[in-house]
Amino acid sequence: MHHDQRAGSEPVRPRVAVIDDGALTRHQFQPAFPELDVVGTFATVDAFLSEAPGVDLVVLDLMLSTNAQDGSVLQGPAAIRLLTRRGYRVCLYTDERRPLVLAHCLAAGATGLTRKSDDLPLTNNAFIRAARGEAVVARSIVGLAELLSRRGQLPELTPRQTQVLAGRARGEDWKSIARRLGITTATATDHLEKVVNKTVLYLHAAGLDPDASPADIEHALGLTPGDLMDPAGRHY
Amino acid sequence: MTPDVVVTTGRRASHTRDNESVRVPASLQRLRDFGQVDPDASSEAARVERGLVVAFSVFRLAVSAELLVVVWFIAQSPRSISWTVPALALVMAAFSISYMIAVTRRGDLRSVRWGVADLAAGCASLVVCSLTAPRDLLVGSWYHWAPSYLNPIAGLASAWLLSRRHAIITGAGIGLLYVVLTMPGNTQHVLAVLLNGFSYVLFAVAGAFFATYMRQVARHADENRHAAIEAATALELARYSFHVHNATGLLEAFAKPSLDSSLLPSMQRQAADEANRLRYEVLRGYRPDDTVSGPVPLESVIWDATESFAHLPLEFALALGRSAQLGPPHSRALKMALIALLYNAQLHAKASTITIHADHADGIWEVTVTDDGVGFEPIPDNFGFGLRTQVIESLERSGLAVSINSHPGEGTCTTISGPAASPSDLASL
Repeated sequence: MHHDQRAGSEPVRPRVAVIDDGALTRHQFQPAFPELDVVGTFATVDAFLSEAPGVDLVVLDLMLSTNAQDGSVLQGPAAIRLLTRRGYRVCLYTDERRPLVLAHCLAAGATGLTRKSDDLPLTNNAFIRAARGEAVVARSIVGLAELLSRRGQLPELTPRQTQVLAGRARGEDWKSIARRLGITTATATDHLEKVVNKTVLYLHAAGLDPDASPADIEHALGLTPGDLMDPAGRHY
Repeated sequence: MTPDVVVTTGRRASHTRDNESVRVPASLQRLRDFGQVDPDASSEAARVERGLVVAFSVFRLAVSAELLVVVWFIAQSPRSISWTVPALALVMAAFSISYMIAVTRRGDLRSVRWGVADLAAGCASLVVCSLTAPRDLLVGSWYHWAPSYLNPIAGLASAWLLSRRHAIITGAGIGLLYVVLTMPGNTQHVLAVLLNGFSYVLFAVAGAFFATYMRQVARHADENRHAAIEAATALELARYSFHVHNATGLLEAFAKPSLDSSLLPSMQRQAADEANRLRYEVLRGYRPDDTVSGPVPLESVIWDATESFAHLPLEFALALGRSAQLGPPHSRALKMALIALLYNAQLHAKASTITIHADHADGIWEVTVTDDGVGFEPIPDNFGFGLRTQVIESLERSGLAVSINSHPGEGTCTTISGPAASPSDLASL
């Protein structure tokens, strides 16, 4: 299900399925990403699972129903959990930025987070890497990684990794980080890659229920109450 | 995060830089800028400093002219007198004129180096003249020029000392020096000598109060102007949001089959702004108006400051700073500084992302604003009005620390930090 070994001289395009309730996104996806082999597009997770094609990556929109009261549409962490349990790699395709929500999604088993607002080449590259099995969450998760690190939940971070993380969490330019720490930008990006991988592994191992409350999430991740939400229970 | 360039919170920024290519000497930079109209120098604070320079220059010119007259008088005098004193008068006249040129180019008198040099030279001249001149010429004659040379020095000590108390002490010091040097052998003129000595103190007091008052007035005027700009921007944005260019209107415009394609570029820009705004609203969530007095959460200050800039591509990483509380003067200063920084970034940076990060550790909170825009060479001459007055000076005055990192092509990062209000501060309210 994850790899499609094909003999042939042309490069193998990653096989991708798209689950998005937006018709425009579904129709425009293949033209927008010609380097991907879009095997099928679906409006719901159920529609996808009933066909269950063999793909390297499932690109999943976070909100599959704009009707907030519609509990029947499988979406969010619950959808991710189900897909990953069926053996699929899931990359979320969303502009959601709230760390609590993203943490929940990653804990449910997603390995990728791409933004709809990002440039196409960036997103294309992210999908390709995600299809190969790499964790592709860097920009969205840096703040959360820093928080987890500060709360002592990522103990294996080396000093250099911590420094690069602190720089990127503040939005510092790669060249500036590299110069400040006396390393190359390639080394710096490598450090962050390692941090991201450790973070994703940690989140996967957190064992969160898809319907965990914000407080549960904070607790399960070893965070201080209020880290990801305020006392009134509002998400951040 | 340790910056590689540091702007200290002293009056004059000092920098250490590594890895910077061309370094233009500051004096050469100023010579280049001399005569060019600096738009940022139109602030009231800058105007007051220039006014003090004018007053100083006029005062100085009069005294320098006096010195030249002294030399002329001595040349005419039948009495044979040593030329030490007149020679020194010419040297000091030349020194005065260089000082005048230097401060006129800078547009302000606040150079400590020049001020100290001037004071030292003036006092040294007084000592030399008092000791070499015939004692009967020390009081009431043209020959002894050094005391009147010290008049403008006493009067405008507050221009470069900045502290009223220090200026008055300086005036008193000069007065004392004068009395000590002049009195011996001139006890018949005791009243004149004492009055002359005391006049330095009076000059210093008058100058100190005048300079301080003018600077305060200018600062208030600048703050009011900034507040007015802020209010006008907010009003403009409110109108902007309310009228045509909200997301619905924009979408409807896109939906019209009769859409004029020449409008697309501007509509695309508006669409990007609207997308940022909507995203901001989601991220911020509903926050009631916290018009409380007393400490406020660091996060509230950040949300308040960023409200008018929701159309910018902002990224927030505030989780680590959540527990910090700020007292009213700090929260006001931080809010004003953040607004100025975002306004600057919007105007100059051409950034695709502006990251706002908060942290709180060991009783200190820290906020960084980083853009991935064009960056600049962070020498003091490149700091505009907003950065200098509304960010650096305003934060310094409130007791907060600020450091500005930038590098052409690598964006800009500003770090502001201060002490978090402790639980005991909160309990006392």
